[in-house]
Amino acid sequence: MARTDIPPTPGLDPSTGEPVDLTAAPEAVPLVPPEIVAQTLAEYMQAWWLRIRSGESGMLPVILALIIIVVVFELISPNHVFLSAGNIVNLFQQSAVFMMLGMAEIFALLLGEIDLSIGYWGAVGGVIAVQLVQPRTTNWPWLPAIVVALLAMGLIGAVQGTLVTRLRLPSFIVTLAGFLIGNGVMLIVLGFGPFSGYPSLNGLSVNLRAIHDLMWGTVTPAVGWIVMIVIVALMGMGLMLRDTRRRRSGLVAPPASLTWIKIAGIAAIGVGVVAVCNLNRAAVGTLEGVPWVIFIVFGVLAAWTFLLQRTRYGRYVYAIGGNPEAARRAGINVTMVRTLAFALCLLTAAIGGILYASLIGGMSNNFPGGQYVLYAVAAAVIGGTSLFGGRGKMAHGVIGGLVIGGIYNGMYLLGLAVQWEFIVTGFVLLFAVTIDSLSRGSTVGGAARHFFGQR
Amino acid sequence: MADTSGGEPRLKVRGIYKSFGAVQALTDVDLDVPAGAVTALCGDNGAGKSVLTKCIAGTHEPDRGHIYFEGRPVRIRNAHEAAALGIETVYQDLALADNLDIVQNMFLGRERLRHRLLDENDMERAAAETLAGLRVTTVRSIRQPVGSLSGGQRQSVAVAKAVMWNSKVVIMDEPTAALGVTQTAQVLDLIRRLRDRGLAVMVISHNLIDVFAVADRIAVLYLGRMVVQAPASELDRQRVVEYMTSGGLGVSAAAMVAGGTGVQDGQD
Amino acid sequence: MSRSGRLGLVVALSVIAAACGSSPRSSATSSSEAPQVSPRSFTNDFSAMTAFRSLTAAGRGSVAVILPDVTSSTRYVELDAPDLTTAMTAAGLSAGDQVVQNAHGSDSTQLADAEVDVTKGARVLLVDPLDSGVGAEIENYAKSHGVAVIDYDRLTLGGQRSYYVSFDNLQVGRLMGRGLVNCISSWHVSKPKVLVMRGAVTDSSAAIFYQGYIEVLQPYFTAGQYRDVGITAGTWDPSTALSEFEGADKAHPDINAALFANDETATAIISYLRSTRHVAAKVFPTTGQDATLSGLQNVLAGYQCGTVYRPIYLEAQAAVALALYLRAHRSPPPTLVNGTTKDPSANVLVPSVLLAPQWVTMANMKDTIFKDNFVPTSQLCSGAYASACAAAGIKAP
Repeated sequence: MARTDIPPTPGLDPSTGEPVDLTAAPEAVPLVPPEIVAQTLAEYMQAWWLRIRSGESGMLPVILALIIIVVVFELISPNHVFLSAGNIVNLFQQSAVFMMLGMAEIFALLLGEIDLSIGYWGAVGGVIAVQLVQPRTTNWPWLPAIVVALLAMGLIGAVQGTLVTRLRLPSFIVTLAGFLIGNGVMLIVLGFGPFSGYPSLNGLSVNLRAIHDLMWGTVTPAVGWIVMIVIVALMGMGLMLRDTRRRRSGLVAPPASLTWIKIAGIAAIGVGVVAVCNLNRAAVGTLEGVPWVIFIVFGVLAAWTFLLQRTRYGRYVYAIGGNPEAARRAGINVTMVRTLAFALCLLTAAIGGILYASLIGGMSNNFPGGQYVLYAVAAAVIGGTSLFGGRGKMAHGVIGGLVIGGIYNGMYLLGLAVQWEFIVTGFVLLFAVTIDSLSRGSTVGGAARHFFGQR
Repeated sequence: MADTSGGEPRLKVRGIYKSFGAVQALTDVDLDVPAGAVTALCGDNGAGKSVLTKCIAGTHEPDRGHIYFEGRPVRIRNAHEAAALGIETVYQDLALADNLDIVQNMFLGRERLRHRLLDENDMERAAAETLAGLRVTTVRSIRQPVGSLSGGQRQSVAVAKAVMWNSKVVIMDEPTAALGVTQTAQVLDLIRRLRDRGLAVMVISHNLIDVFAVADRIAVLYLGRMVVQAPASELDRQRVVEYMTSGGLGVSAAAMVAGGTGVQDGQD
Repeated sequence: MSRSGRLGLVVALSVIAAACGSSPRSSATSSSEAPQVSPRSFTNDFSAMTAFRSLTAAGRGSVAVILPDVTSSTRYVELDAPDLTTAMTAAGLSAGDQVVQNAHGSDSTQLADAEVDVTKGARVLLVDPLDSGVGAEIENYAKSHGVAVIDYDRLTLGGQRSYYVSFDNLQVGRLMGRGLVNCISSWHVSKPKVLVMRGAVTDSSAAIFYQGYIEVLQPYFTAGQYRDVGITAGTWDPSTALSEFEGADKAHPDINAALFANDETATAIISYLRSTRHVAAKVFPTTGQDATLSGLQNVLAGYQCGTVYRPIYLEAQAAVALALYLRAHRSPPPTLVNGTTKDPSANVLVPSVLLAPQWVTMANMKDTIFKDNFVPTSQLCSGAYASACAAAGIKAP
């Protein structure tokens, strides 16, 4: 952000008496994360509001979008069933695949790349797992089947990553090729065995049930409460510990009241989710409890967030996304970091593919791989991840996935044809990208750097 | 904080040759960069300043010649080896990641770990100390993303990043090129503070006003050859310009006498 | 929110039940409300459905139909959807209680449609599953929510549906076999050497068709009256079928009769026979299935003996009738549920409504295809086929 030479203008800032820094970036003030300079809750809220007004709004737009979707659909859905316990759990299940694919795509987006192949390669991961557990043919236990599927897709991701990093092929093209190849491979692997292309998870074998239950199985209500309390307690303690350690090191920590509010927020979400899932949503008999898939999504979210925020590897991913040349000069092994990111991307996509198989009760050649890639990118961007690299968090994939799942679910409730779902999702994506661009101010700078600068 | 005792310059290169294909970029270049002093490296475009810098910084290896660091001959094959010796380079583009904050940039590639995880608090404290030591005070918070800083502040961060690491030689490529007046003064001040700490500072610059404001020694490259190395007090702007544009003093006078093409006698 | 909603619903239901004075759980098999109906009762004017009005009134909740796609066949858009709607309306079901959806080829859409239908209060689901995986998932979900599922036209292997409605596939095969036999005698083919072709081996229906026609043809082969030239590998794809026929033709150039698996494959091979083997009309008996436009035209022209016609309106009405029984918590009469189908995956026999397919030849085309306007007569009788239509008694518009 260097400025060209401008004629010296003598002038003192009347309030401070110091020379006015004419070259200071106008965004300098609001872009400071409020927690760092605020000492009291009031100061924090002021700084936060200032930040929003200047456009650096973080996850606020997407959270607002989510609230609007929930309110609107609740009002207009027939008999207001949108917020019924059964529908909310359906919503979580439907969104889980979008969330997982969104998180997968974020690995590529953070680097300033894109991975168009996560749809079909993710499906291949699902197909591999489903085929391996079929009792009539290979009859593998479910855990090795899942592990093999994940490793296989991780390997393919590493291959794609190698093509992008060592041969310097554009990731758009490499992953587009992967998209086509993955589609073919999916159909081939689907054809193995006497299932005429449709291996199913419907059966009594323990292994079939295990994968089927990833999406449809639940924990008992009591276990759900216990796990939620443990997680909230751990997160709360982690936050407080972090603040205490900061203060002890002599650094500025956010006001304690703020941390309590955060913990309360996390607890509220946890309680809300578990309470809704524990309501009996079956008309016949009992169907209650938190579905396993929610723990799976949360687990992946926690693991990848930890990787990105607290390890060197994660730091390097952000650095490469921000300025690959700087990363290279800093001695970072850019090749290894990028290749590994592509591998993690497809590994996460494979988890998404297995969840999809679990939802659908098997795999078939009706998988809309292209559509799902677009939903994944949309989920990430709607959540707040930048397409130009260097900015984003795993939580964006989760929230974005929830937005897309919400639109999908709400529109089905309204009985709108599939065509409208496409159109509305497209508009939401446009809206999200526009907010992203406008709020970043230096969009032109970002775009220019992206296309002309740094490879 | 060791001062040179008038003996060996901290960094010394002798007889450097470097070519790229058919182009001979450097021919028999010598350079001294003593500690506790600011050495300015000047030259017109294409004179070979960046190539020489990159040879010292480890990006290129010279075809022939020797590099001596604190009197010992050394071979610098990559940026790591340069950094290991204590040679830090601040490039013109600053090599900062705009999406990361000041602390993260300063520690990029060399993060401090605690139990194999990033030790944010330790790094934050060390960064704050370094900036305070360099009297960089206009930054509101070191957790600000670098992309939101002014040009001068970014330059300061880049310099602070360079000096954090027990560096002994700091090379700066066009540090004031894109800065306004106030910012330039800030950066020149910073350079002087580095010198006062006993580092060997080498500044590459086009801008002779800034060069004469801060340099103790001036070295001029012309078409890949070192044509003069002298204390700044022995030179003035006009003469430096002549060295830069024609490789020697009095050439313009001689040329005019011989009726040849006159060399432009302009300022800057 | 949902708890008070549910409470309100329970209160409302009890009030209505009390007011109506009839327990919603009676399982009377025959009362004035439940007509004794069989698959033969349905006609192409949907008049049989009006007898179901009181049964409809006795039931609660909606009937939701989820069709699979729009590309594998035009029938779902042109025939099934409108016929199902007409049947439901004729039976007195209000518009709010009718849901007809198409999953457009996507598993996740079919599942989401089912979930949403259940959430919105469907009492019966009619599902034509895209594949057994998603079909079984839908059936699990419906079962846990107390919603009955009827498999429509395709059976979910390994699923938990209550009933299956379809045309009798074995009968289809038999009709094709008998049609070929009749043709061989009426076209005076001496020493018939018969090639039997079949549909894709991965399609479980193809296997049943084959079972039907072999059942008819085998005695003739065993008795030596027909020579069994062989069976092909099996495909629904016309170009692959043509290759299979060409291969068999090279090996046995004296083939003079063939059983083709359906109209699409028959059309491809018949045009080969005409152009390359210069076969004349009413000389080389062949068969087909599905009553497509080109198949019917080949029948009119005398190259195909006949085709199997499945009047979709029968399937639609039978399915709706069955659904109305389940919706009113009545057991459907055994006259309607007239058979069983084996689910080889779950190893169970599924109670089924099996409808009678029809064999259409030039003789009865007027009374079937033309009467039902199954294929637009203007298209059928165009150009070279006008005279054939006239001969069959079909008036071109």
